[in-house]
Amino acid sequence: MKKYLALLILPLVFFVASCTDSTTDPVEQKGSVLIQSNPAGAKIFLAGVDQGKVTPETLTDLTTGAHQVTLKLDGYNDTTFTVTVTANTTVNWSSINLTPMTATYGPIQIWETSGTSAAQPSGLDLSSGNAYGIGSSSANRTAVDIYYTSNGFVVTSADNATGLTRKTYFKVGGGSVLTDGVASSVKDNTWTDRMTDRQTNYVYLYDADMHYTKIIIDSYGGGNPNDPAWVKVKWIYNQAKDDVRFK
Amino acid sequence: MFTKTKHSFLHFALLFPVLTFFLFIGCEKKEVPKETVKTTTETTPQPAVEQPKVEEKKAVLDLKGTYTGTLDSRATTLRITEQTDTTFSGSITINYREAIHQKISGLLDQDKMVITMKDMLHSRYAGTYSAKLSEDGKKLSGTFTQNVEKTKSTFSLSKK
Repeated sequence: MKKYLALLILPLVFFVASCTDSTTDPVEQKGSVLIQSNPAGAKIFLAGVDQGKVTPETLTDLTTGAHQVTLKLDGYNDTTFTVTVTANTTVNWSSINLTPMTATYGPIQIWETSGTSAAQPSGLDLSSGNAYGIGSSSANRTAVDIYYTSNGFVVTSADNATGLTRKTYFKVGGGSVLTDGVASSVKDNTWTDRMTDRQTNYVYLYDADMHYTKIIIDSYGGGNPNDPAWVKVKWIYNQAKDDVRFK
Repeated sequence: MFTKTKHSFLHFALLFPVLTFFLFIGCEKKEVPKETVKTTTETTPQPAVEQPKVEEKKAVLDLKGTYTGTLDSRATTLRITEQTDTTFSGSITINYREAIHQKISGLLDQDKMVITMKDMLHSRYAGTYSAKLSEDGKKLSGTFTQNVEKTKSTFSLSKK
């Protein structure tokens, strides 16, 4: 009888034991990933949630498998990518190149400084794409980065006008297709304060807010009595500070 | 008798020098009126003779030279290269974007210190210049009027 009882209990023990095992959670496999970007300093979002960290930074305690990461930095396009986390390791994810946000403006017409009316502004605000007069009574004149002057018929840095302070540097580029994607060189002491109004190549600008612009003379006209000279310009404004790229 | 004669001689001796003296004086006095008359004749004012007026010809200002300044707010250079009396000629360059190069000829009215000039080459922008000349003749300020559109522009130029 005892023998039968033992045979009956033993399966019961195994059964209970198996039941106990089945209620215990499996041990989660965790890993880490190092997030880097160029430039650094981008905010890191994981599955849309701000992690309170900026690149370069390691995200830890991530479950194994795929995770969606988004990087956000002022002046740059948001960049989303997927990282794969493996158990018990820190994945050194390759650096993410952030692409600068750019704004394209024009053609916008500006006139020479002499013989013009208030409706014929000479100045340009590169960041907003607005044309403003540079006279003392003109609104927003302090936002002007460059202007077209009758003095030598050049497009020149705003600080060459009385009362204006913003300084912009100029460097003639090697091409004439504004959208060719060619980056600027880094501003150095070979950059000047003007460009001729008959320049056919695009020209790189570096403004007082440390933004690069790629500009080109689209067309020109006037320049006679009763018909002041003008130019129409188009440009790409790089909204990322100190970023020379125009792709 | 002798006494009488002696007395007479004495009188004569006394009188002779006196008479001689008066005679001498009298002669001198006689000459004075002569001289007076002569003097009077010489100093008599002559009727004013109208002298032919020698017109002092005022020196004509030398306008030749280079004048720089602005016309219609554009940098401008006027060169006066020829001058004959009050007429002159030269060239003017007005630095619009499409610069204007014109030949000019003009006239100086020195009494009024006014200059008038005109463009000599055919152009839709040709016109005439009227300017006041400064007293030292070194500054021209006035108005340019286009022949076609009658547009007026001010200018001010100074001699270099």
